[in-house]
Amino acid sequence: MASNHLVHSIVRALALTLGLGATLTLATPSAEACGGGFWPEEQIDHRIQGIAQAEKEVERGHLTQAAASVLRMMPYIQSAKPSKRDPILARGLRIMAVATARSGGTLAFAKEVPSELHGSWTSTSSEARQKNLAWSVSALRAVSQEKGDDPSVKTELGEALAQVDGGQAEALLLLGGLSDKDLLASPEGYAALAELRGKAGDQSGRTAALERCKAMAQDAAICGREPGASAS
Amino acid sequence: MSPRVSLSAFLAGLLLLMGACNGSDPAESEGDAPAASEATKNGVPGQLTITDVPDEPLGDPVHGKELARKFECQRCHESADLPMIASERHCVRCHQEILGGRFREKPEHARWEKNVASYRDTPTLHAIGARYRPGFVVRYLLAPKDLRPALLPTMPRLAMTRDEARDIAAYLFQDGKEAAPMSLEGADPGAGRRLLEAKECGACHVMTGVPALPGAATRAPGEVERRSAVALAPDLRFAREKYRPAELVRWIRDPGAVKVDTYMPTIAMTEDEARNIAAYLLTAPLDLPPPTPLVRLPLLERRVAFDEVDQRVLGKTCRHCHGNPDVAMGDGGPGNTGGFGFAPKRLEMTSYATISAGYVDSAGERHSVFEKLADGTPRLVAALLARHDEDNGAPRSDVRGMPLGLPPLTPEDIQLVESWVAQGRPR
Repeated sequence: MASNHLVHSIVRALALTLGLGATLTLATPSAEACGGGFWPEEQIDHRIQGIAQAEKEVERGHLTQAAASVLRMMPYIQSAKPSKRDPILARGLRIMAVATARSGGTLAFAKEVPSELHGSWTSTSSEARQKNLAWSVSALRAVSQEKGDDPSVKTELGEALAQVDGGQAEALLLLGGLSDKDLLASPEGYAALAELRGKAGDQSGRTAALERCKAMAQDAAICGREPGASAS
Repeated sequence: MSPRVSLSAFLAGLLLLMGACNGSDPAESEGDAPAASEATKNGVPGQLTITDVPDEPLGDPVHGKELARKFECQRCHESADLPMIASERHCVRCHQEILGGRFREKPEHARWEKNVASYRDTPTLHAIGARYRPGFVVRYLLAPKDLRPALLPTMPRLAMTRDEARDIAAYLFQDGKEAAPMSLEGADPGAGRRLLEAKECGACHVMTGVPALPGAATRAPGEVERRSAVALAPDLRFAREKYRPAELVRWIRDPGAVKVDTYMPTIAMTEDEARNIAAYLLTAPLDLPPPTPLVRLPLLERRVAFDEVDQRVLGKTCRHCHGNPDVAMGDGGPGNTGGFGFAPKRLEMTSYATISAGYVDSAGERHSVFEKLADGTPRLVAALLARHDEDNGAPRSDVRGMPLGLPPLTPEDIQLVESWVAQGRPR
């Protein structure tokens, strides 16, 4: 009895499967029969608006918000490489690298980004800062290479280089060359140049760079301290 | 005072009074006056002097077609034998699609509509040879002028040599069927003027330099003309530069037979009537307003920051041609990634950093757009001023006016940009 029941169940299942298969096979190939043509679902890349917003935040000096926003959109950013095929990714890399450099290597976004994404970015140790700044330099170098001759990326690369061990000489050359042609693209770039020139003993060059920084900056505080001012 | 002197003074006064009365009579100035003044101006009534417009030899039409591709004429104009161009690179079709709700980036429509409404019409390149003088086309290509008062954009001033302009003109004239030469002897310009009024040509056209044609629809300053026929209707003052009599008479009588896609309606009239209108258009004395030189405003004393310059000028005007290629499928516009025959200048005006990054010259070297020219004017400001020179018919050979193909910036906007640059470009 039991085996008969089992056979019947198998036959019923087979018949159902065959019936469904035949229905699908013989059905009209035209999707119009289903009430309309086939339309691929539109994929909206929300990173486009997000990255544009983050770029504005960087210009306004809101570095932590900008970096946090990029990291939430692109959690893989630290291992990413810029590519012409994905310009949004390259822009994300650039924002992250600039925010890192202008924050001195530490990004205080612990409350805005899931902890598993913090990596070394939130650490305040000197070692972690240098590691982050080195990443910033390598990311900006890659973006600069990808973009070709673009003084705005070179300015940012110079800013980052100015902060890494052994990068100052290259930074001075890079930022000084851009400044000579009035192509230094940000007050932060002039601030970095002023500091480098000061360290190199070029006081008149330092003053000139500081003046340009103050003329360009919304907040002169980013231009650094006057010589002799106390570092409180 | 002697009686002789008194009589002379009286007669002189009477003559002056008569002259003043004659000039202030609106009925005469808009009615028969033009015919009378034609007759006076041209000497014997019935003998008309057509302005002598120098002509230009045509060049090589085959090379001209190649050049038309190089300068991307089909980005703005429809042409039967130039390759079709994708909608997103076709200025006019792209705008039409946005305004018609057919452009694929639908969420952006509402934001863009206001900006593109002023540029959705452009004349096609058909039948140019059947209408115009070659010399006009060559000169127009080299130094475009604002022919269509109701259309905001104008033909851009491209980087073109005279030989190239002659070659392109030759290409455009290939389909031209010159009309049999015609004299306007005996035609009556006064009757032509009355016909222009009776046929209500003023509903679409203006003619600068003569009493206003009646019937023109008025637009508020800055209002966009949405009727294609009106937007494309040229100022009739230019007819004498563009046309020979025979081609003009043929055009007036049956424009659709000359150019099938024209908006100009065919209005029933005899050949004599068309000749009279042509006589008026080609010979009526033009009292043209003098060029209005730009009044430079003093530098602003208040602080000008980038955001204000961006909102009023860069973002509104410059960015369309100096855009970010990363957000526009690789096309940063003719002023950045190249186009309209311009090599890539790599000048992007989308942010503080990118405008500070300058442009690349023909030798591949980077320069700042704030670099001072010989007279001390920063290059960016010089380009804005040069557009006014172009608009006044005096293009500069060393600086191309900007914005390309758009009206010059107002003195207030130039003042803003100049003040920002002078203050060291605050961010």
